[in-house]
Amino acid sequence: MPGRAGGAAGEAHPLSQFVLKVHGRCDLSCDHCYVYEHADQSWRTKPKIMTPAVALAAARRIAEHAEAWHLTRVRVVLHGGEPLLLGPARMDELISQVRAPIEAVTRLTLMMQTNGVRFNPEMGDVLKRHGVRVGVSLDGDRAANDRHRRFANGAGSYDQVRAALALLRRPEYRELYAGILCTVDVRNSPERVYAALLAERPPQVDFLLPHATWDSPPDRPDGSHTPYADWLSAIHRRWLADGRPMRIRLFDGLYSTAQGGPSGSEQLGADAVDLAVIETDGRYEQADSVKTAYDGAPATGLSVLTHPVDDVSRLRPIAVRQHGLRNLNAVCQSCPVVRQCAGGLYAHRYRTGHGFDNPSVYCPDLRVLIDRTADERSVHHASVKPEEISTADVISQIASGFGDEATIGWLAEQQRSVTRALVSATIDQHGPTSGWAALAEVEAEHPDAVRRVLAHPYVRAWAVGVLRADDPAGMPYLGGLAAAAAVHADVRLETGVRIDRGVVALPTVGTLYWPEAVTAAARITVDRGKLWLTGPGHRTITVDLAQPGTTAAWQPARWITLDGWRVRIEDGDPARDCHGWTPADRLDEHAVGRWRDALTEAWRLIGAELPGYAPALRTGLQVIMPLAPDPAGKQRAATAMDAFGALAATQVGPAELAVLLVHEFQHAKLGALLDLYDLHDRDSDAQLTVGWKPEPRPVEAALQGVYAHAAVADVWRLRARTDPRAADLFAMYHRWTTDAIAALRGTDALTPLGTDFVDRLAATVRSWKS
Amino acid sequence: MNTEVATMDNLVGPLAIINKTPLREIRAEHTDRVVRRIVDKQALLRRLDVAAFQSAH
Ligand code: SF4
Repeated sequence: MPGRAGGAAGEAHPLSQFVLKVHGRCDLSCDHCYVYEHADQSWRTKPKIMTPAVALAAARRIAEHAEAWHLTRVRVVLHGGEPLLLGPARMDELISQVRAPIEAVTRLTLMMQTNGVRFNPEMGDVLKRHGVRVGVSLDGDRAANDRHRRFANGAGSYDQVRAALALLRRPEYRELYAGILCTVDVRNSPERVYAALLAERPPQVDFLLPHATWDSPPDRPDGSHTPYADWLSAIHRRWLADGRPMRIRLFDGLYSTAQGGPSGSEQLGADAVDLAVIETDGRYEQADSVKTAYDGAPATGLSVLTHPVDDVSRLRPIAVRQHGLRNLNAVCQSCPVVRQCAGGLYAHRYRTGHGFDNPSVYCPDLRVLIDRTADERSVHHASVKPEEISTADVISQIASGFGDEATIGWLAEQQRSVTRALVSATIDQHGPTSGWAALAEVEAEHPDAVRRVLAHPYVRAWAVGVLRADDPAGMPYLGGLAAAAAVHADVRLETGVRIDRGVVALPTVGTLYWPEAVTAAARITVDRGKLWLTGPGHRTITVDLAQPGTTAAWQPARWITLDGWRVRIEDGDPARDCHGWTPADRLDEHAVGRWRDALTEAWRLIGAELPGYAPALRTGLQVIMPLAPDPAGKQRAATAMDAFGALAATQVGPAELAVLLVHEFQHAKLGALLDLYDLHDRDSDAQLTVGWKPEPRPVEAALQGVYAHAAVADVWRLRARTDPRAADLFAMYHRWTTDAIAALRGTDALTPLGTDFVDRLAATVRSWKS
Repeated sequence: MNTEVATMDNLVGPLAIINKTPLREIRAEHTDRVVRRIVDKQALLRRLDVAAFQSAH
């Protein structure tokens, strides 16, 4: 016997996850539910709801534990029964009780797992106020879901759950939507289940194998040996072919463990399970899934009212699961896929007489699934290879400090796809506009014209702005994009635009200036080389694009050509105001001339002194956005992560500009890389001391600083013979870089990819010392 | 129950689909992942929006 909680099994451990059973009953009676339908029937004797007093006692225990163990973060999952049965007012009170003591000592992540049936705006507002993220259970399409997830009267819950998910997708609640939990039933069509889940647009899907033990093995219809592996593989192939549109924890976990990373799930892999459950009456229990094993299995005999969390962490079944592979049975220990599987879910190992000391009852499925997932993934990669650069190549190219043209070109291409996705998302959020229809129409016949316009760096900044502000007022910007594309394609077009403080941007073509700095609706027509803008008072501005030069109403795009490539001066588009500093107003020809001279000379200097940085700049830099001068005459420059390819700067001399170009473009390259890959744990609270700022910096800022300062160190190294300040400046930047790399390596915030990146960068920097 | 550690996210697959799909045919299911990573507050809590430089004098 595993022991009814066993006795004390050794030292206390830190536990960082707590499941609070806030309501002990459920409004559904799903026949696969482990709380009510399995061996353990203890729910019958527990109180219906968790009182605020018990919640507070639990929170104090958690807080005292977090403080003693210096936990930087604690996760609390509001669970049931069905937590929403508590109702908004009680929920609000309970969460307030939970938050106060814990948040006084550490960071708290709040989650809820619900059937969704009772989710409504009132509850949504409570959860939003407290920052609770919500996972909803849905088993697939109507037939699949209602096979098990039914009310006591036999009616299915599908419509109610979908209504809850629709609410969670609304912009005001979107931040709450954590994902969908889907219990597998191999009698359902995997294709239909996948399509139904995808249609709900969850950030993440978790597939749960139905609860089973060696005493009551899983259903294997049709005599199939590995029906669960077959079912999940069908979904895996669809998901890969679809470009992995949502995260699927099981597959992401298998990919991760294949590379020695964590699995992110209790179902697979040897991540430490540092979890305790707190019942409605305050009693501690083990993970719910253990309920399948035998009546009373999860009980510990301890309570928040009388025992600290440390006492629970000492109990054998919890302590055992802290050690991953070490405590596994002999069969699993010698299994070739043990690092990825680790015996599967603990509860699935139970057999009367042997306790949990067995492989999973799903062992054949797990074995096949793990091998097949790896095979399918490599077949998929081989088939799409020509279009893709491998992650390892990108990381090593960027970490070397430079990046060749192919790599930067590929990153720029990814950025253009990000922009396409975000532009399309604005339509999803705010509904179609005439500008959108016009843009799509031009694209149908002239896709390159639209690509050219969408490559404008500030399109993404605009899209992020309207998506984040949830304000449709900016949507007519799309009309300007359509008009610009129509000019490139030389097709007729008429659509709505907005005069924004006197300006209508036609990115990559030019800027229209209305006589007054008003914000108003207007219409634009493009036809045979001419533009007409009709705005307030039915006034119309006419522009003949064939006429060279500038007028008060029209500023054609200005390009600066630099041996074989060119950059544009962007001084019109209102969306350019995303660099944290005030943009310069419209530049006159003299000012542009000064930029031209400075850039031309800076580019010559880069070619002569810093040729390693030239290919990346030539491939990725598209726009210089002049900033208004600093009142004290300081140099300013900035890179906005939402505007890849744009560099904002105040006017400076060529030698300084060369350094700024190199320095700022480092930020752009790394920003583009971080859009795609996780180099660090985005949730990390780590703060690092760095040489270049008095205050400690979060991980991403430190990483960005390291990458940019490494390049500046390189600049001064290469200027050693020509500039008397070079030796001191090199020493300073080099020290800042190496110290910050050491600090980054000292945190646990880097992912394996991030560690690889930083180590490669460190090697590059080390090679400069001589 | 899931463990606290998150596995790594990666946008390359979703972007490849978006890149080759005409604007009109891009489905919200395919942009969600990009929106979540680039736009949503949850992901942005600690993201750096702008890297700014100002000279000492
Ligand atoms: S596949 Fe089977 S033997 Fe191998 S680790 Fe998993 S449960 Fe154990």
